Amino acid sequence: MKSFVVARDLLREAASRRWFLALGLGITLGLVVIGLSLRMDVVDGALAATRFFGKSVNTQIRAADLALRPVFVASSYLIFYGGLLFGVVACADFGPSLLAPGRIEHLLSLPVRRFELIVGTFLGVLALALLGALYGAGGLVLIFGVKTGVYSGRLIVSALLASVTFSAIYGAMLTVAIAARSAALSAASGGALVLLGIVAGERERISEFFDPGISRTIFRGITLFLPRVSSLARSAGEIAGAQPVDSAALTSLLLGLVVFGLAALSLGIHLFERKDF
Amino acid sequence: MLAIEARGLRKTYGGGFSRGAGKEALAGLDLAISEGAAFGLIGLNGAGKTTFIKALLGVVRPSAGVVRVLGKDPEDPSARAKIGYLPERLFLPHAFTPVQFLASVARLKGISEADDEVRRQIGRVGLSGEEGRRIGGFSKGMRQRLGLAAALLGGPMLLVLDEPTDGVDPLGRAEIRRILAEERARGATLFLNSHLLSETERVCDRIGILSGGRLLREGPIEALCGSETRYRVRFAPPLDAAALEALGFRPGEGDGVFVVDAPDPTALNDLLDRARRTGARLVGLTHDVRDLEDVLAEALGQGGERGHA
Amino acid sequence: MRRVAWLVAFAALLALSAFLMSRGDKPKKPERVLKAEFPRFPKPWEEERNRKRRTLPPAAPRPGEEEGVLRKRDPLLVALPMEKGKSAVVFEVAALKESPIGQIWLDCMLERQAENQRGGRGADKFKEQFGIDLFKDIDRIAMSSSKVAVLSVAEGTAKFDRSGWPKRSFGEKGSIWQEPEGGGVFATWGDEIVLAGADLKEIEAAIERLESKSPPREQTIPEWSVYGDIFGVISPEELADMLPEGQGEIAAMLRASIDRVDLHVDTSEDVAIVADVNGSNAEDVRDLAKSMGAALSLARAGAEDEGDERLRELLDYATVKPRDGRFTLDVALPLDVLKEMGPCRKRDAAPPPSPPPSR
Repeated sequence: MKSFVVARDLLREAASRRWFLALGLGITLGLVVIGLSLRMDVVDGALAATRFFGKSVNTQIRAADLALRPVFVASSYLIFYGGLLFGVVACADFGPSLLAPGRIEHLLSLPVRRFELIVGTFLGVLALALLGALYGAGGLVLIFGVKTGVYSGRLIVSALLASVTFSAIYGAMLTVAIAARSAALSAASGGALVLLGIVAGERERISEFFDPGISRTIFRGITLFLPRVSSLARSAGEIAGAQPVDSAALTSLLLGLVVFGLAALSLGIHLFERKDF
Repeated sequence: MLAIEARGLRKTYGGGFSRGAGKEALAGLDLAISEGAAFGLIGLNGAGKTTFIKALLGVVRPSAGVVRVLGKDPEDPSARAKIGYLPERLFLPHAFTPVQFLASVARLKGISEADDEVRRQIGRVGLSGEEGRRIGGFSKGMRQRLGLAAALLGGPMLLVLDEPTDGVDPLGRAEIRRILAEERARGATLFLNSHLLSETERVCDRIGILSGGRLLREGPIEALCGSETRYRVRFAPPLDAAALEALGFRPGEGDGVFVVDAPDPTALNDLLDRARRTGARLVGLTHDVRDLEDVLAEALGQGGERGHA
Repeated sequence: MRRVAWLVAFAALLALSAFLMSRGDKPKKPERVLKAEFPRFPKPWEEERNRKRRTLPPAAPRPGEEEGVLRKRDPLLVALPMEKGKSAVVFEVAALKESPIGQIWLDCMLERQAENQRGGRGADKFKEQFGIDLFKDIDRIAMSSSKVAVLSVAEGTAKFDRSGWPKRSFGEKGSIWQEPEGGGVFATWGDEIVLAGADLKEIEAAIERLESKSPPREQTIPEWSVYGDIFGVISPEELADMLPEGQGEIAAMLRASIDRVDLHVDTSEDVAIVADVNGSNAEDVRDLAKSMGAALSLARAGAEDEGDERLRELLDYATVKPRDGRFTLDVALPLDVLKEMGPCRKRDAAPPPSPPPSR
């Protein structure tokens, strides 16, 4: 499928962008710093002492996997929201760049269907998000695994959840980029969707602040269609922290999120199919 | 079979409820180009040349009319698979090497085992030795050559080239002309859009003049640039210029050179006989052939007059 | 048509996504989240309560000591043995009765009482004989390793005269009743303190401490340690004896390096236990903390391997926190677990009686 060629080119292009070089460098640096400066004293599976840059940071002695749970939860939230914000800013230009004069005519002159270009760009960003999340979360898991003997894939699952969430938001960003050919507008729409998604994740509680009637109905009506960003972030944290998760609700949210991304992509393709360049 | 066929092609940009009538880029264009031809489209800026090219590639969708390329709808990917296109301002990814860029284009064109083809085209356009360099460091001419290589990948049956020699040095232009000649010899159809009329003249055998979204003139280059009824004559001195002018001979550029219009050979000979009777002695006679610039200016003048009429 | 298809797909997918996401809006709450408040210092209301309980006059000042700095004393704490190496634990019965776990156990005990009544035993019989309603009149119970129980009861409820046991006076406010044909000894001191045990000497010693003008200054349970629903001191020897057989190494370390263990339990939600382990040698205490942490971790891993979810969950909440020269061991016991650990466990766990098979 030609979409994979487009996605592969996008990854190659991303590899040369300063944003992504900085991200890769930042993650690597962070992992190296943690790897070199974190000392963990493990006795029979119990984390007895933790020193970061020679300073004691852990005052509890408990099973290493239990002791690492708060670290994984904090990492999960960092990866989720940090990743979303970074992705929104750094990936906003891919859509407009695809539609740049001199490029889009050339691409459209090739035997590629229009929707394949959009799907390819989306897949490229999805792969980028997955790679970034896997590198960061996988690196952390590896470092803590080497230092404590606890290899937990939960943080990786949580990071994958963050990637999927970003991809759905990117679907909407790409659609805005097609409509407006503007990286700034694309980023703004992504940022707005993240913020609104945080609100939508708490819609049940927030709606109680509205008087029953039209204002509550409007609020519920609008937030009904938005991805539940905060709910997903919370679930990602719970997964990372080995806390109980309502898997039925999470599956529903996740499926809804994927379908939201596909819906946004469909609208983007619809606009793209109609557009002259 | 026709390589390009356009009938009543119209394209109006913008418009709609809030923006009024919109801008008409193509106003009922009719054109037919046979396979194997080398066709040059000329016209002023804003004439609709780029819109027409984009319509050929399915990049722009016509508002009305029909356009077919190699017998198919341009939106059919199988039609575009046989087209090589070089845009006027090709955007090239800076981080890619020429090999990476061409390999990507080859994959999108569906060319399997493209490595040899990529290397062959790189060599053909004179970029051998530059395979490992990033495109970001290329000069304008090198980028143009790379764009041409991308268009040539896979041996397309129709080459649509928008300003192919833009930014290329004179020797490079000659090289490109040679490549285009090879492509023609292979059987490919050339569709050229260039502001360099001399280039168009040297490469193409048919010309179309576009203005206001309409094709003002179209035909073989000899037919457009030459005149069947206008002759350039040269008399040896001494001669009676006033007597010659009275017969309809207009002074031309050079000593003893005059231009005369004659609708047929009998009228021409009659005029020449009458000139000789004034004492003039004929030493040279040729058809009066004009360059493309004159033809364009003339066509646009007529078009303008027609437009004003 | 194809272009409209994408728009139709958009609308359909958006509606589907809204439906799916709305289904995840109300996730089921986890079955139960642990709510444990680890007692680490007295709450203001506890300090106020403790102040009211100090009804004994201060001990006489030592030479060179100013009288003004001396505080009144809590008779219940004074009655407890004061020798080093003894354990003593105080149960705040009134607070425990109000706690969730207390409610569960109380319900169960009341049911049992009904069964016991039929057999002529139980709390009613005790009330009839001694005048004390075990479920209502007791405010606190203190147990010590010298086998003396000190009860703080509602004023004037103790009526041991009804028992018919021989009575004698001891000291200014003490009265002792001794079971004629058994080893049981009851004593009252004033209207509110009841002492019970098997060793007459220990009871007499307790009354002497209560009436002494110059008792030892150091109580077994110091005033600052009086907080939580259960609190007290456990001696290293007795703690070591409580450990399972496999933990001999830790038991030895406990005996060698620990001076005392202060225990505090909060039962306001799930049961939270804090054991503050003190020793004179900081290095030994640190080593013990590591060994304890490792033992808990190994036990948890073992429970996980054996599929014992309940034990693993219990050990999830167990942490060792080293501090300067001491460490605290926090253990939380969820109510669900305690339900099956208490006196009602067997009956609750027993399958419902099935009708006899008819043949």
